[in-house]
Amino acid sequence: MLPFLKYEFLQNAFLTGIMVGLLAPVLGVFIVVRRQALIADALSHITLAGIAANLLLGKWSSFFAAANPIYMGMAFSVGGAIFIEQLRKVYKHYEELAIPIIMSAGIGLSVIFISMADGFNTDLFNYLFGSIIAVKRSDVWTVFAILVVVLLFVFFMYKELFVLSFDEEQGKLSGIRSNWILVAFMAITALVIAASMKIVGILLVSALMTLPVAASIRIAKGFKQAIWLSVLFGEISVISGMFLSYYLDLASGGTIVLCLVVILCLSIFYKKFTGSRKVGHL
Amino acid sequence: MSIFEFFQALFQYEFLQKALFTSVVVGIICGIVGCFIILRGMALMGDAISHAVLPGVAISYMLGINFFFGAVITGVLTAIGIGYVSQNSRIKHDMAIGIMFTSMFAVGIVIITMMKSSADLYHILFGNVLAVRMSDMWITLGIGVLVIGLVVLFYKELLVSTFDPTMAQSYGLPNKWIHYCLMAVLTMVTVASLQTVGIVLVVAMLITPAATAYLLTNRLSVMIYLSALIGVISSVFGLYFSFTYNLASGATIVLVSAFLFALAFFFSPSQGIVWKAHKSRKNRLELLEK
Amino acid sequence: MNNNIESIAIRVDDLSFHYGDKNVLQHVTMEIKKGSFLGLVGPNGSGKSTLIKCILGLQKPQEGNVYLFGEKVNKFNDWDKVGYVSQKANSFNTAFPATAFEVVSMGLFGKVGLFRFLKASDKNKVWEALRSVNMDQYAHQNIGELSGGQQQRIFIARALVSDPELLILDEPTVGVDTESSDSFYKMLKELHRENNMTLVLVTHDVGVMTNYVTDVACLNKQIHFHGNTKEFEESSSENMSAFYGHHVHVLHHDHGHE
Repeated sequence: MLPFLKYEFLQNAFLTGIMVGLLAPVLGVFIVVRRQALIADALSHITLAGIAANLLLGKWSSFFAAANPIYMGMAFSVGGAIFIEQLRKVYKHYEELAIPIIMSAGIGLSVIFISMADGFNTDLFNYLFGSIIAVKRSDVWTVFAILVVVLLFVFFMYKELFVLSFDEEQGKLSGIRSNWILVAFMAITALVIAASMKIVGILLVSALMTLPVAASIRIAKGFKQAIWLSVLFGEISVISGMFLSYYLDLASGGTIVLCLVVILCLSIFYKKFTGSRKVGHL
Repeated sequence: MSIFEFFQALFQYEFLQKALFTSVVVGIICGIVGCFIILRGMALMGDAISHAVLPGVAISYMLGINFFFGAVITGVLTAIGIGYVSQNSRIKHDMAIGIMFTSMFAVGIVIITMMKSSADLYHILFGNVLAVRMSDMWITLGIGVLVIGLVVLFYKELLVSTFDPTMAQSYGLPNKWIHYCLMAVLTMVTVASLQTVGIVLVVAMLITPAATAYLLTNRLSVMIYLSALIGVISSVFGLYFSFTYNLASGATIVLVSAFLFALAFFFSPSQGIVWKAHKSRKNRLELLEK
Repeated sequence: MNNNIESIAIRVDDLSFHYGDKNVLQHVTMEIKKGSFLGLVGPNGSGKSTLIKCILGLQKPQEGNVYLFGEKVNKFNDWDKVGYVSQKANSFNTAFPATAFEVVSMGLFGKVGLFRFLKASDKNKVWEALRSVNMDQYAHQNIGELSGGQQQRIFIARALVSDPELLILDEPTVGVDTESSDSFYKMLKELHRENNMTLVLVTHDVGVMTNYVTDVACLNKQIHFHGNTKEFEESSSENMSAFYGHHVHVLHHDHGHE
């Protein structure tokens, strides 16, 4: 056994990290090809509002004080996801404006909740930037449950998600019930964001979803390969990021994202030097 | 605390006067620059630049210099980096922005955690206008004058290159230079807003008042005045709530402006969805009567 | 005209569509017979794409009805009978990491149904469709690495893989060089002849298409002409100029920007 894994809190962080490193890139592939990275960002900010609301309610009610704030975060995030998906459908034209506004309203609310709860302390710091020492055993089980749900969803809905991401119109034409699948997908994304938050932090969750994918789609042949490569890149950076964070005593979100950036740069150089150019011509 | 008491406090405390003055200036320049940002479809870019100044701020803090310099340098470098990546590879523009901004932000966070001082970090992230120093106020004012001066001087050029870049090119306008100058201005506005609304919320201050104005008018000149006005209203009321209930100023300012946006979104006479729904219902009724 | 319902693939009945105050389509009525190869022409902004979207049930017209194979479009369920190739430029993102094979197999997903996977026989169908457009050697290339003309063939293969009886193509040659678009038209003609498929080809280019289609319809908010190719060529060119508002392009030219 590695000395690293002696302590229970490190085991918790390690297990959660491995699961999150799988989950975030898998969903990230669909998010990136649908060009919705901004929505992932918005959801993570709304999640923070949920966590902050829980901290605030915990001041008055012992029920909330005892509950893991991650659940309230999930509730907010899923609610926000459904709201955004509806908004996107009804007001296509305003999507680009409305989403950053919702996102900043989310974080504005969370800051207010937090300052009302006098919670400007390391706790909040951990939610913002991630920390490997703050992961509890109950978090591990929550993330595990999310992992099972998400993998089942992606496994059985693979075809539908693939068509809808490639071209929504075609999906509707082949008789796919696109509405509820897209709403379910957003809800699942919201769950994964809430799950990843402890490790990478609210402000960098969307990076864990998009950067591995940005690296993999430069190299991958085909969609399935893109998924596998994204997961591989995600795992490598989560694990090495956590090691760095532990030994250098830095926020884990920051180190994980920096590992991702290194992988991305390598993939760009790899592509430049192996230079497989476009086969056809336009 | 009533509004009256707030005014009393305003006359009494110098720090509150400085805070009010600074946030009003920030409201104005964010409103003005925001108009160009959203009309050029650069909302995402605003987000990126505002996050990307974090490492600059952190480094200047470590070196003990005014964070203005570090922030401007990293902000401009990021803007150039985004342009370079999206022009020289198959990576799409929005992707390039996402990549640059998260990596810069991550660098900033790592540097700040190395310094082990989270109290200052919160102020940088979420703003604390009540702690504005005299020197910060002067920097904000200077940036404000510069930005307004630039917009007045180059209004025509900005107008043309915003609405029709191809036509601007054919007039011989250097689009690229305009773009990068706007990026530099954006960085300076971000720096000016740091104390008031904080890095995480600057983008809201840039986009929300301008988006609100966009829903209310079709003319750029009107939009700019409206947007600046909305920025000022949000700043003043936000500051009032922040002072009265002891909340982070960035959050209260942003929530006031989000509230104004929601009002415009639902009730604007030309674009508001309540009116639209009403109109389309009327149309349908008329059709039925025919 | 044969009014027997069995022989009609698409019936559009007094259809009107507007976005806000802007009229896009006004009282369009037309019937498309089974087995015909219709060229639907009209200038930019004449409502061609909107009409197609109404036919496919992707847009809801404010007035009028569409019937596919005798069934009202909102009740129509046999979507594998219909293949659709949309305007390429705005419908997909070239960085999308999918191989040609994966793209074509999407055409089968509606048939396969929820919670099920592709069987070996389905994969054979994908190969068959790829061969029918002469693209089988590119099956494992990423779609973004193919040329515009090749991509368009892949999209045709995707539409063909479910053996449709009706194939609708919306401006398939935009952004494709002249040479590829010629061979592309030839391929369509062959598909039409061999499989007795009903084809609807939307284009704003009158010149080339008349060599291949059996019927022509001209649309500019309303239907101005609908008949077979011979009648179309006999109808005087002044009519056409009035309809287009300027001289008609008789020669095909490249509309690509890349």
